[in-house]
Amino acid sequence: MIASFLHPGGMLILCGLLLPLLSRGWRIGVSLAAPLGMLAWVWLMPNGTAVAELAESGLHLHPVRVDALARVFLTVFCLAVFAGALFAARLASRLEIGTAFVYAGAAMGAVIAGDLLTLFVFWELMAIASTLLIWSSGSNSSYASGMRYALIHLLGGVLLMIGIAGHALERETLEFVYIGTRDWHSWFILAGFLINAGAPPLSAWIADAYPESSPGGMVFLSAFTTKTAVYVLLRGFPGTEILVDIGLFMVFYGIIYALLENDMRRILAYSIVNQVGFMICGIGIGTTMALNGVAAHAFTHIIYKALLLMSAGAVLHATGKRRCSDLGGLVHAMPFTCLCGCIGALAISSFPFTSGFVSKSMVTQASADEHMLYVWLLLQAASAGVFLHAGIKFPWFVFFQKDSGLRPPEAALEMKLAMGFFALLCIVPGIFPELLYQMLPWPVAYEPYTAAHVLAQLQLLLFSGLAFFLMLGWMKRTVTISLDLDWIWRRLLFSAAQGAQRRLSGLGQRLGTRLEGIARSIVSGMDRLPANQNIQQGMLLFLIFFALGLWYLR
Amino acid sequence: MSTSRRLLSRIGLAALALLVVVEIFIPLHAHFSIADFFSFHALFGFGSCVLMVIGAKGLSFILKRKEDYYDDS
Repeated sequence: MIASFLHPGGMLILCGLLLPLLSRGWRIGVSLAAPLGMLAWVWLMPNGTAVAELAESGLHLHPVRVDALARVFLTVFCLAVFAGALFAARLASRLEIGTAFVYAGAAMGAVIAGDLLTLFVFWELMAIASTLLIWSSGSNSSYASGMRYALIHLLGGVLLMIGIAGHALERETLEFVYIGTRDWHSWFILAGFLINAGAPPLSAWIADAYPESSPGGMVFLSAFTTKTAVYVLLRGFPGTEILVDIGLFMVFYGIIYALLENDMRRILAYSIVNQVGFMICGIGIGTTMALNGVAAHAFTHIIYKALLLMSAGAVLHATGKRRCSDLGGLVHAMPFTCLCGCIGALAISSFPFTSGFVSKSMVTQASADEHMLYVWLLLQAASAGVFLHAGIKFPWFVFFQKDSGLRPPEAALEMKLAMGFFALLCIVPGIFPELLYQMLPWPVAYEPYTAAHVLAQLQLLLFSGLAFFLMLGWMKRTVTISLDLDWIWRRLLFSAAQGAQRRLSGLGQRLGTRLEGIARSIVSGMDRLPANQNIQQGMLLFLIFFALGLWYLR
Repeated sequence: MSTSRRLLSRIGLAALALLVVVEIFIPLHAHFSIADFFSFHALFGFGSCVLMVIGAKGLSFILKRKEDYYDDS
């Protein structure tokens, strides 16, 4: 009863609708207090499910379901909202902070949804609110990217709805538990979930849309959509073999595209695909070790990715520049931002004594436990690749390399507080992994800190660092973008449509002149006929009789 | 600048060497026989990164376009 009364997602959505109406001081106060209040709710609520019947259909809704798995995601969502709101306290417009809260609330609503229909409602609300959040940065490019983003997510929503309708008809339940890939409709649900995870072939939207949002907006965007997708896949499709291959593809897609990229926040966007790839792969492996690892990795990933994006956002806000080729040497002007960016970079690379080390290694270990040699080898190579594309490349080109001569002011106090808080949350679980492990849904029998594991990881990472510096010449920044499958609708279909339009309008014009000529010749012919008035009257009479005749013959 | 850079790279190389030498004292029991040889992780990390950079370079000839590629249509 209390559960449905104090729905944490609903509360945040309500906050989001109220925030634009408040004065500045109240807005900041409420946006910081609300996520902390929701965090208290998440930890005070006992496990359980609220049930309601759906209008005599025999189908039941479970709008609120709280268990250990949901609690992991809800906790980190609350932390992300808090740090995001703190970071953007002075930066965000009324509209932006409002949509960010509606978006976060929808994501929390999707996580606690115990049935597919409730999940769908929050899923769509998340798509709408996140599109508005992208648009709230106000640039022309954000409008176009946001439109493409919305279309992809609406497509995902349609696929999901088809799947849910089939599921409700054939299995006669809406309860969201293990789905599997037994039936045709399950594949639609899987496809709908995977689109939000950034899986192939539709991965481009993450790097297309997220970097067009404001410095604070992308901190929110990175946390919710893809991780909600990971959560629902974790619930609905654990052990689905195809997810191993999809995850491995995403891991290397992210690395390669990030290596080619010049825009600093787009590098981090590609690395979201890369990190979600690790999680999807773990879901495909499907043992409790792997699934625990996925939940832990989602938790740590949200924090270090938000930290990386805050440091990139602080740089963008201070310099107005987003290309690596324009940046560099900012360690002198923004030492604190640089330090936090480096901590985030070490955590994403799973350096020992950071949060990434204790979470990602669970997924890798699970593949070894299952004797999946190729998966293990590829995951190890990918771990090295993460250090290459995010761990060194991002801080190196932004804060070090050649001095760009930029001397912007250091980030503002509230930004520093937000970054410092998340930097701490990257290190503490790395040193005390039990803090993280005891939250996980299944008991953990894994010790990340053995001398052999630390040494193996350090060898892997530092020698990939050696490769980075030896091949620096090959990674010279170029002012370019990289083509993706969205080329099909951004270029091919677009120019096809343009060509068709040109041809049709040409055809129309030719037809028009032709018709005009015919009409003119008729008129001039009629002009030449004698007593043309009679002919006209005669034709009118003929038409009337013809119509009457048709009517009688009917 | 160049002296400090040289110093840094020397420290880095020394650290790399140390990491491999330490393996004599801390044997890494690999789970798979293919990975069960001395300094596997160092070689594998280095080799896979070189391959990824070369792969990215190769793909860059196909994928890279000017920044305004989508604007001029």
